[in-house]
Amino acid sequence: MNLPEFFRDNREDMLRLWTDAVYAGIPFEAKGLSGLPGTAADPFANPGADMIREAADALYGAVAGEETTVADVGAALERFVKLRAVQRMTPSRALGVLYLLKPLMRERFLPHCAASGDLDSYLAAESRLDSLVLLAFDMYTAARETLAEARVREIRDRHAQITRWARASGGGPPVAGRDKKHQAR
Amino acid sequence: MFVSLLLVLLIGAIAWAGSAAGFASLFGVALPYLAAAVFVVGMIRRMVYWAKSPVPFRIPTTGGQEQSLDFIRQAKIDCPGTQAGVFARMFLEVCLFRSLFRNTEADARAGLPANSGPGSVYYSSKWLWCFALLFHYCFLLVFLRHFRFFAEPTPQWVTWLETLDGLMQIGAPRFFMTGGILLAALLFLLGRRVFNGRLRCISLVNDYFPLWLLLGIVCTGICLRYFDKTEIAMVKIFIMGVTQFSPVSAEGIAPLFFVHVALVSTLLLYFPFSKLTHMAGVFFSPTRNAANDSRRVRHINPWNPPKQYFTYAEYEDAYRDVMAEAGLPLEKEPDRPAG
Amino acid sequence: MAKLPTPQELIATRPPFPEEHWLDVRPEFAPGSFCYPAKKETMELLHMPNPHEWDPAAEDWGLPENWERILCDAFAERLEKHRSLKLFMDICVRCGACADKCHFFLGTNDPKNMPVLRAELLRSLYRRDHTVLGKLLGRTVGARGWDKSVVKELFHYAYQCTECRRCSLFCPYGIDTAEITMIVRELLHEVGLGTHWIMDPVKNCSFTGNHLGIQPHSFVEIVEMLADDCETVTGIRPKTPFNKKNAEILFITPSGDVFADPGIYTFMGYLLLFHELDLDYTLSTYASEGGNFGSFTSFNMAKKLNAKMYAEAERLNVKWILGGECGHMWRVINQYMDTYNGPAPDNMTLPVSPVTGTAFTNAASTKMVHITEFTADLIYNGKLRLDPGHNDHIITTFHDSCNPARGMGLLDEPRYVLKAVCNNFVEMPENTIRERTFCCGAGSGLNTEEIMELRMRAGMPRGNALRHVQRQFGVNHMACICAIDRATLPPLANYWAPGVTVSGLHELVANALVMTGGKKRTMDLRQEDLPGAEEDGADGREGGE
Repeated sequence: MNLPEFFRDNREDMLRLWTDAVYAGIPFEAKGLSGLPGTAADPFANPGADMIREAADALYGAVAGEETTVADVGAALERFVKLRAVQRMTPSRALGVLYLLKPLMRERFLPHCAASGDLDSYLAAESRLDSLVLLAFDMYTAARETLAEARVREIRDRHAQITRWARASGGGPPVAGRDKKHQAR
Repeated sequence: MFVSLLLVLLIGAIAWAGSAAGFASLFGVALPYLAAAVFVVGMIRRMVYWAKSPVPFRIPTTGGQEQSLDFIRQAKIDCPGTQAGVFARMFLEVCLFRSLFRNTEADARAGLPANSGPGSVYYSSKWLWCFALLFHYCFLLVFLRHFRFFAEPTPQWVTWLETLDGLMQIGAPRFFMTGGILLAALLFLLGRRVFNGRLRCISLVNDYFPLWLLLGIVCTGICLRYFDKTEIAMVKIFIMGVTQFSPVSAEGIAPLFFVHVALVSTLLLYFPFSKLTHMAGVFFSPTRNAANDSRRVRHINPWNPPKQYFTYAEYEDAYRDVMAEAGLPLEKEPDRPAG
Repeated sequence: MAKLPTPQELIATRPPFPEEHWLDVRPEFAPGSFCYPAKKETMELLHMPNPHEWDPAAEDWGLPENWERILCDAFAERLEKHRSLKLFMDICVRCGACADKCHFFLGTNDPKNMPVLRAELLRSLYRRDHTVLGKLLGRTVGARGWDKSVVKELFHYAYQCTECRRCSLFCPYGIDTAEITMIVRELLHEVGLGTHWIMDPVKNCSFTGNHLGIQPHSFVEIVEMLADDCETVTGIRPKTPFNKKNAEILFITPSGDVFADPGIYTFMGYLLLFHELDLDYTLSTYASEGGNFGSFTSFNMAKKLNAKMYAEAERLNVKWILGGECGHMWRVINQYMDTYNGPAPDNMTLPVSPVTGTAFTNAASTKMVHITEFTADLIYNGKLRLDPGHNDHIITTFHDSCNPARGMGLLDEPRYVLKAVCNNFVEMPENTIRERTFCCGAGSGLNTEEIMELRMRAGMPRGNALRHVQRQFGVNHMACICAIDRATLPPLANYWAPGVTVSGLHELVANALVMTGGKKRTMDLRQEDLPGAEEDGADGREGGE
C-alpha cells in the first residue's frame, strides 16, 4: 500500500483524532464540553464545529496531496483561523493545532513508509503541512491586522461627522465636502 | 448524581424495612397525608409567593410578526395581540411544548465531511422535545389510571383509558404502554444528563434527584403490577380507606407497595420546594402569558417611581446662550443679547 | 542541542482544565475580556450609589464596606419588584435547550455563557437566601454565598450578554436571560460597578441629549452639514427644523446617526424622505437621543432618559412621535415607555400618517410610530416615487436586530420597504433571521473597542451566516434597522465576510427615492459613484415638477 492509499483509508480516523485534539485544546473555558461540538451538525446552529470540520477536511486533503488550489484550501481554513485569532490563546497555540496532524501521521504512516522505503513521499506530505501552516500564519496575521484596524476605524467612525464639523468650523485642515473616494476606507 | 441515587434507594429501603417491621401505617397512611398536605400548601404558597410580586413591565418574547399595518400579516399566535392569541400561545406552550419544538426547525445542512462527532444527533433538541412530551403525557395518563384505586366504583373513563393503554394486548396482566414509555423517557432524560458533557456540566443534585425518584416510582409501580403481583383488591380497600379518612389495617399488603407509596410521598414533599414547580410556574411566565400590545394599551407598573429627569427648563438654562446664537427657538430669551 | 518545545508542548502550555465544578471556576480578567470601568466623576454626576475608582484587572475592586449587605438587600428588593425574577429563579429545569442558542456561547465555548449557567450564577445566590432546600443543604443543592469573587464573576458574565433574548425564545418556560442580566447589572451598579462605555453616554444623554455630549448649537450645525451633503447628492437641500413648536410630528432617532459613519447616511435618508413628503415635523436638540443607554444600566435610569421624549412632545405640542431605526430604543418604547412615563401627554393624538391617512392603531397609547411602519405604509399606498435601480449594484441581505425582532415583532415592515427599494434581496439562512436572528455580538453597551476580540467571537454566528450568503449568492450589502448594528456590524462584516458593506434601511430608501425637482443621481448618499450613471445621458434633472 502506498502513502495516498494510507491517507485515503485512514481519512475518517485521522480526521476524528485531529478534531478531538483541537477540541481538547480549546481553552480552559471548555471544561466539560466534550459533548458540545458534535451536538448539532447544522452549520448555523453550531458554527464552531462546522468550521473545524471544514478546516479538518481541507487540511487533510491538502496534506494527502489531493488535487486542490491554495485559494481553495485557504478559503476552507479561513473561518477556522479567524475564529482562533480572536480566541484567548497565544498565536503558537492558535496555529499549532494544525501541526497536531504530524504526530498522528508519524504514528500511523511513517512506519509503513519507512518499511517500504518510501520516505520521500512521506516527507513531501509533511512539507505540505508545513506550507499550509505558513499559509494559515498569513491568514492569522491578516486577521489580527483587521482587528487592530477595526479598533482604530471604529473610534474614527464613531466621531466621523463631529470630526468633519470640527474641521469645518474650527479652522483645522480644510476639507472640501466629503469626498469618500479619497478617504482610506 | 450518585448521591441522589443513594438517597432514593435509602428512602425505598427505609420504607421497605419499616413496613415489613410493622410500621406500614406510618408509610401507607401518615406519610401520604403529610405529603399531600405539604404538596397542596406548598404549591399554593409558592404561587402566592410569585403572585405577590407584580409584573412591572410587559415583556413578551415576540416570536413572530407584530400586529401592525393591514397589509402585513401578523403571527397571531407567536406574537399575540389579543387575549385569544395569548391563550393559543399558552395552550401550545403548555400542551405541546412549542418552544422546545422550535429547535427542530433548523435546516440547510451542509454536506458533512467525514467527521460528524461521536453521538452527535442523538442529543439534539428534537429528541428532548419528543421525550419530554412523552414523559409528561404518559405521567399524566398513568396518574389518571390510578383513579381505579381512588374511586369506587371505578369510573368508566378509567376503564376506557386502560383499554386504550393496553391496546397491544401483551401479557397478563395486560401490559400498559404508558408505563413502558414513561420508563424509557425517564431513562432518556437521565441519560442525556449523564452522557452529554454539556448537560453534565449544568446538572445539579436537584436535577438528578427527581429523575431517580420518578424512576423509583415507575419501577416499583411496574413491579407491583407485573412481577410482585400485589393483591389489587386489598390495596384498593386500603387506599379507599386512606382517601376517605378512615384508614384500615395494612395487613397482608406487600412491603413493595409501601416503598411505592413512600416514594410518591417523597415526590409530593419535594415538589413545592424544587424546580418541579415549573408545572405551575409556566402559567406565570411573563414572557409568554402576555399580549404584545404595550403600545396600544398602557401597562401599569404598581411601583413606578416618580419621574426624575433633566428637564427642558434646566437644559435651556444650561445652554441658553449658545442656543440663542444658533437661532434655536427659546422659552426664555437670554438676559443679554447673544454675542 | 537547543531544547525547544515541540508544537505539542507549545499547545499544551494552556492552563490545565480545572477539575472543579463550575461553581469553583473563576473568570480571568485578562485585557480584552472586560469593558473599561466607569469613571468616578460620571457616577457621581448621575447620583449612582457608591461611586469609586476601580480596575477590573485588579485584585481589589474597592467595594464599599458593607457590599454584601447592599447586594443581598438589593437582590431581595428586586425579587419583590419583579415576578419574572422570582419565577426565573425558581422554575428553570436545566434542560439545556438554551445552551447552544447563545451567540456568546457559540463563539466563546465558555460554559458560563450558556444562558442556563449565566442565570445559575445568580440562582445559586438565590438558593442560599430564598429557598428552603438551599438554606438547609447549601452547596449540595447548588447554593452558594456571596463573596468578592462572585461579584467579579457576575460582572464578567453580565457584560458578556447582549440581552438579545434569543435563549428566551427557545426556553420552554420563557425564561429570559436578558431580564436576569438587566437585574444583575442593576445589582452591580448598587456597589458602584459600571462600565465606561455605558455610563459615559448615559451622562451625556442625560445632560446634553446625545451620547457624545455635543452641545445644542454644534448638534444643529452637524445636522446642517448633513443637509448640505444631501444637496450635493440630490440637488435638494432638505429642511432641518429644530425645536419647532406645534409641528405635527416630533422625530427622534439615536444620536449615533448624526455622528457616526455609516449612521449619518441613514440620517440623511430621513431628512430627504421627510423633505420629499413635505412633512410637518421637527427635530429636538433636547430629546435628540432615541437610544437609551440607561436600559443597559437600570430600569430607573432607562426611565429617566426616556422621560425626555414625552416631556419634549408636550412642550413642543406635537401630535405624535416618529421614531428612527434603532434596536434597544424600540425595546424601550414598545415594552417600557408607556409604563415608565405614560400616559402620553394630552396634546398627543392617535398617530395618523399625514400623507396616507392611515391611523396607526397599534400605537394608540404610546403614540409613537416606527419609521419602517411609516415608510412601509407610504410605499403600500404608492406615495413614494422609487427607482430601485439606484440600488442595483448591491445584493443585499437583512439583519434583524434582536430587540425589534424579539421584543417587538417588527419583522416584515423593514423587509417590505427593503424589497421596494432594492431589486436584489437575499435572506440569510432560516435559523439565523427573523425571531431567531443572531445578535451582532455587541449590543447592550458592549460595542466598545477594548473588547473587539470578544465581539468578533460573539458575533461569529452572525458573521458565519453572512459569509454563507456572501459566498453562495454574492451578497455584498447588509441592511439593518439599528444604530448599534450600524456601528458594530461593519467591523464584524469586515472580519468574517470582508467586502460586505452595512447600512441602515433608510439610506437605501433615500438612494432609491426620486426627489421632486432633484437632479439626476450620479452618486449614492456616500458620494460614491453609481455604476452606469455616467453612460446615461446627462440631462441633469429627473423627477420634474
